[in-house]
Amino acid sequence: MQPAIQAHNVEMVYPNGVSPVHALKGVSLEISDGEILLMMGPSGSGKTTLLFVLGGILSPTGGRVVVRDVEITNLDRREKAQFRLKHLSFIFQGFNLFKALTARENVELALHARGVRGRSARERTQQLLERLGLSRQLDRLPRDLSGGEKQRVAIARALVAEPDVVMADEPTSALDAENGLAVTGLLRELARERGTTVLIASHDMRIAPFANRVVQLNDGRL
Amino acid sequence: MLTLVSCAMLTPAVERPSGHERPAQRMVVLARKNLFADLPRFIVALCAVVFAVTLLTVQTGIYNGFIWSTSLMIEESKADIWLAAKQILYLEITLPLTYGQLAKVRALPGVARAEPIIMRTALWRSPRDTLNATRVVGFEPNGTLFTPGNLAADDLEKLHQPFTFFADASQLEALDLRGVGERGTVGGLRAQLIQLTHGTQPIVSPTFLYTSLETANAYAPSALSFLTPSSDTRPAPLSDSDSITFILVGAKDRNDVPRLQHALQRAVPGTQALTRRQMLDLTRGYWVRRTSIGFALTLTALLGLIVGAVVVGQILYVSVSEHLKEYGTLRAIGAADRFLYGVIIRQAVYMAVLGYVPSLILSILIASIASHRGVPIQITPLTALIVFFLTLAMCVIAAVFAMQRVVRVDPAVAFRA
Repeated sequence: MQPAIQAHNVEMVYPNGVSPVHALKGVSLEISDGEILLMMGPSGSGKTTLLFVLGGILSPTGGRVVVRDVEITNLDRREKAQFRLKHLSFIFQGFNLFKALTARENVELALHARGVRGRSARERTQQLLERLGLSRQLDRLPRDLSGGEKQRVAIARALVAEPDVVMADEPTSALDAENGLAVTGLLRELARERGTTVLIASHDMRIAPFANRVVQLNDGRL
Repeated sequence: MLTLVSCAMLTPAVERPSGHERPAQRMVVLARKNLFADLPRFIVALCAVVFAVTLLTVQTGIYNGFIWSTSLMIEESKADIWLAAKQILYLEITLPLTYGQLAKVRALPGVARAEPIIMRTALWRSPRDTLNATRVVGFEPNGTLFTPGNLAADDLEKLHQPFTFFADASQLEALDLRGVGERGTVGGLRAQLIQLTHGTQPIVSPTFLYTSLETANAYAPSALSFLTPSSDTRPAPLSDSDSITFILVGAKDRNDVPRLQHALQRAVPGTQALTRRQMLDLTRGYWVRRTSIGFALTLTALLGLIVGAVVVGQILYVSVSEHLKEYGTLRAIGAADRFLYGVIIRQAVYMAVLGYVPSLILSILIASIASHRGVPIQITPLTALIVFFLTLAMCVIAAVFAMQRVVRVDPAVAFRA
C-alpha cells in the first residue's frame, strides 16, 4: 500500500513560560492509503497534538509531515487550509454541528465550503444521509437529534466531499457504548467503501477491533 | 439502536468539486440562520440601523429641503433668464432696477416675454397688533413667468383687488391671522389675506406676502409709516422711475439664451443676466456658505452612522464570539478566508437591507409630518438610493472587526470538548 501519511521524527513543544511542555518527542509514523489507524493513549499523552500536526492544524517545532506526497510542514497558513479543504476531513469529539442549521444544511455546508453548487450539494447530501439511515432527520436541528444521530451527521459531513483522509478526535466520547460502537462501525464501513484513510485518536479500547492497526502513544512517544 | 445500512446501497461515486464553482455564494443559509438565531439581539441591531438610517435620511432630506426652500421662487419661475443688478448677492439681497428698464428688455429681439418682480422688506401688523417681518413679493398676476404655488388663473385674478395678498398656509400663526379674509397692515397700508398657498414659504426667509406689482410698490418699507397710516384706496400704477427687483425673461428660443444674456447686459447697463440654473446656484451657494448647514447636517448624520456602525459591529462581533467553535470548525475544514468573510458580510447586508426598509418608511412619515409644519424634508429617489448604499457601507464597515475575529480563530478550537 502507498503511504498516505508519513511523519518523520516529529517534535512539538508548547512554550509554557519557564517550563515548556514537550508534547511530541520524535514521533515517526507511516499510515497506508485506505488504512484505519487507531492512536490510543491516556489523556495528555499527545494524541490530539499528533492529530493536529498530521492534519496541518498545528506546525510541529521539529520534524516533517508528508500527506499525499505533500510536505505540509512547509506550507503557510493559507496553503495548509487549502490542503485540508482538498484532502482532509475531521470528526470532532463534540460533533461540532452548527446549532442553527438542520442536519442536511450541516452536511451541505462542508460542500459549500468546497464550492459545490446548490443542486449537486443537495443531492449528494441527501444520498449520504439516507445511506446513514437519517432520511427522517434531514430537516431536524441538532437539538432534536440523539447523540448517535448527531455523530452520524458529523460523519456524513466528514465524508460527503470524499476526502483522502478522515481524522477523528475521540469520536465516541460523547456517545453511550452502543451508539459509540455503531458509529465507529459505520465510519469503518464507509471508509472502506471509498478507500479513505482514517486516523482515530481515542482512549476508548472498544474501538480497537474496528482498526487495521493500533498504535499506543505515551508521554509524547509512540 | 443504530441501523447499519448495507454497502450494496452505496450511492454511485460522486464527482469532486469542479474548478468553476463559486464558494463565496454558498454561505447564505449559515449567515441568515446564525443571525436570526438570537432574535432579541438581532432586533437590537436592527433598531440601531433604523436609528442611523432614519437620521441620515432625514438629515439629507432636511438639507435637500433647505436648499430647495432657499431658492423656491426661482424653482417656481418659468423664466429662462433673471435680469438683476450686477451686484446681486443672492435672490434676497440685490440692488434695485427701474420699471423703465422693462421696456428696453421687452424691445430686445429674442425676448418672448419680460415680467417684473418686486421684492421688498416690510413690517406686518396683525389685527391683534402683533408685528412680524415680511417680504412683499410683487408680480404680474396675469403673467406666465412666475406663479407662486402654481395657483389657477382665477385665483391669481383676485390679486387685482388693491391691498390684498396671498400667503403660505404655514405662515398664519406668524402673521397672527386666523384665516382668509382677515386684515392687517403693511407699512401703514391695509392688507387683506385673500388666498392661502402651499409650499411657497422659504424656511429661512421672513413671511412672503405675494401681491400684485402695484400693491407691492405701494407698501412703503419705512416703519415710520405706521405712525401716519395712509388713506389710499387704490395703489398707483408703476412709473418708469419706480424700483423693481428683477426682470424675468422668457426667450423665444431656448437655444438662444447665451446670446440673449449678453444682449440683455448690453442693453441694460449695470445688470447681470443669469440663467435660471445660475440664479439657483448663486442662491443655494450663498445659503450653504452663509449657514454652513451642509457641515452641520453632515456632522449629525455622521454621528448617526457612527452610532449605527458601532452597534452593528458590536452585535456581529458578539455573534462571531458566540459561534467561535462553529467558525473554528470551518477553519479546521479549511474554509477559505473569503468564505468566512462572506458569512459575516452577508449578515451585515441582511442588517442593512432589513434596517433600511423600515427606516425609509419612517423617514417618509417624518417628512410628511414636517411638511405640515412648513419644514420641507425632501427625500428624493436619489437620496433614497444614496442612503441605501451608505447603509450598506456602514454595515459592511461595521463587520470588519467581526471578520478579523473570524479569520483569527484558531482551528484547534474546534477540537476542544
